[in-house]
Amino acid sequence: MIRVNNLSKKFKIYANPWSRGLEWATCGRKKLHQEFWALRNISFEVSLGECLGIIGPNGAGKSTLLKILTRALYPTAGTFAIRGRVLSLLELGTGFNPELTGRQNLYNSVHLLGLPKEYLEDRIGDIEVFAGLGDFFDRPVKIYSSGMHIRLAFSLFTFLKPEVLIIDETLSVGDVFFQQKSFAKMREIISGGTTCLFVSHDTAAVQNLCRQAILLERGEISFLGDAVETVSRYYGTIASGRKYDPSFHKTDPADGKPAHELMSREEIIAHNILVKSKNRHGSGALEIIAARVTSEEGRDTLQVEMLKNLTFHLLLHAHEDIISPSAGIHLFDRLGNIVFAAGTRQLGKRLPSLSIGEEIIVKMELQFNVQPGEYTFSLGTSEPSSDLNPHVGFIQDRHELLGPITVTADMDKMLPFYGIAQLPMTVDVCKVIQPRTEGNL
Amino acid sequence: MIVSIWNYRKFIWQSAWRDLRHRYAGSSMGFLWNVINPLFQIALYTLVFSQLMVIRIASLPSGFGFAIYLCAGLIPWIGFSETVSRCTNSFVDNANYLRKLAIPEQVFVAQNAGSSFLSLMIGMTMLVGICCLLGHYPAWSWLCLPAVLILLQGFGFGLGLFLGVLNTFFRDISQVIGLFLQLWFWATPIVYTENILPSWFMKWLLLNPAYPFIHSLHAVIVDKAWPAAGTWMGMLFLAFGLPLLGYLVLRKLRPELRDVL
Repeated sequence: MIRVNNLSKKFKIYANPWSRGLEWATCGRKKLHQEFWALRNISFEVSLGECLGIIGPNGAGKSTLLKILTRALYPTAGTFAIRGRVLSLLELGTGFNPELTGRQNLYNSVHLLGLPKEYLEDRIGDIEVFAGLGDFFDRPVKIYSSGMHIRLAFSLFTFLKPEVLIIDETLSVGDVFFQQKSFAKMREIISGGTTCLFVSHDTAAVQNLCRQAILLERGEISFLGDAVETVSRYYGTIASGRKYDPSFHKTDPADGKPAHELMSREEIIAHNILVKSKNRHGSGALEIIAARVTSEEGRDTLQVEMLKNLTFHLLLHAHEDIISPSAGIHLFDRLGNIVFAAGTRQLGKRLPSLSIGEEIIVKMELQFNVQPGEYTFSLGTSEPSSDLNPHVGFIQDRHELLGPITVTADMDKMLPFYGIAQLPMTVDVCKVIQPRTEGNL
Repeated sequence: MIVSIWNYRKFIWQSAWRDLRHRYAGSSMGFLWNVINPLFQIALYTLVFSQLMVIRIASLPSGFGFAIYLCAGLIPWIGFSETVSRCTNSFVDNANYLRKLAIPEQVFVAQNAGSSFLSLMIGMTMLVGICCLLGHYPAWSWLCLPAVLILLQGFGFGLGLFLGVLNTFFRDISQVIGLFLQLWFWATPIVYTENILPSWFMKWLLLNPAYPFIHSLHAVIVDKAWPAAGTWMGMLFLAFGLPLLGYLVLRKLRPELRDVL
């Protein structure tokens, strides 16, 4: 369990060491430093067995927070309490001696952490297998690649079964196989009741491992809540405050359909599914007034048969002039993985630019080529960001955690595919005509 | 402070020992250099001062007498000055650990002091052996040598801790200390005897904190006498006072120390 109460950290910045000396000499009466608050009034709680994510742009104070919690830095104000043995992956490999072998280093690290030797002896076999370093396990660490270095350290840490685990970036190292192994291990650790604090730029990993997350900006918590929402707010903050250059996104204007082919404004509002929406954020410039979801038969439903379609009708209202907005949908599986996300922009369609007060209706049809099960979805509008990054949009209005959508299948029949989603796949067959060889058998 | 050093005692000894082992890593004789170096030093001084530049010491056999006097002060001094200069740098050198690990700061100072102490013990063992070879046999009073050396290292550790904290904030200190230790060396009767000093300098000598230690080492090794009670008091005061001073400074500056690493 972790409880953090009003934690603040101030760094004093001196122009040079002499001004520090001068300040000391005057017993602090003459103030010669600039204050830099890396953290301000941070409070949160992680209960037993929870995993809390911490995301935020560079310099937001993430590492400072972790260092304070691992007691590598002292806070300026505030308190924190951590119950249970803490292990921090920040420490990963810092204790390794390049001259010693991997195995010797593990013993050394265990010592450094103040654990008895027997603790490691029971687990060293498993660790060796998990690290998958082969012969290198008994070779000096100095000849390791940086990836191998991390693998060794990570393997050790995951097997130490800490009560509180503090992790930063390190999970996204190594090849994809080791990463998958690491994530599986992480899930196992979390489900085993270990309290976790996970700091990363890897937002997918945060969504995957954490139910809740904190968005840290300039040393302050700007949002604490559902991990998925935190991540999408995080993307909003990266893109905010930048002007959009319409020439960058080369998309075709969406063909203006005759009005009668789309649902009318009133028809959407009458069956608005957003009335129950609780998780909403964004600048609100392009508001989603209402949304309606219908099946192929035109019924209002959130239940759909595998490989069949649902249609999402959105009614958007512009509160400002907006250039080339986009509307889109995210679909999440029950693990929080984004199964699919796309908007009009990804489809190469450009919504018309809107002036203040205008409204448009967008119809999106999505085929559920996914496994049967429950899914959540989010609906959002966004404006492209300026910085030539096609992956980042500035969120205008976003409704999170809608649904659930239930995808059904006739379980007596064979499923059309296995796995998360169906990918396009084609099959061609022809028999090999073998030349006749006689008398050989 | 004592508690944290006790908790990390295994780490301190292991890394001090490892430091000694790996100091000459890559050389074919490796650990042996820890023995060869002081041995060579003692042999060299013995040769020079017994054959080339003969100075007589009253209580010692002629010939090797001055060499024994010299080594009795020089080898502990080398250990002491190494402790001070390495401890002064211990936070800066271990910034990598301090930035990330919760290990108490003083552990790194203790680790440096420990490794200097180990090599000092090797040097002193060599010295005792050579004294025997030269016919200057051990006396009962030599039993207090370990105590004097431990007090000397305690003093060095305390001074190093104090300077190490300051050096983290003012990096020039480690350079200044290099110069200051040379000055200190010549201000202490190590390569010369006390009786050649002008009388005005003798008064100042009593203010030299290294003097009680070197003086007792000379008394014990050369004259086979027990150090005087006053000297013990001085040594105990320094060996406990400096670590306390260092600790108080560390406690005051601890919150900021890791911020500047």
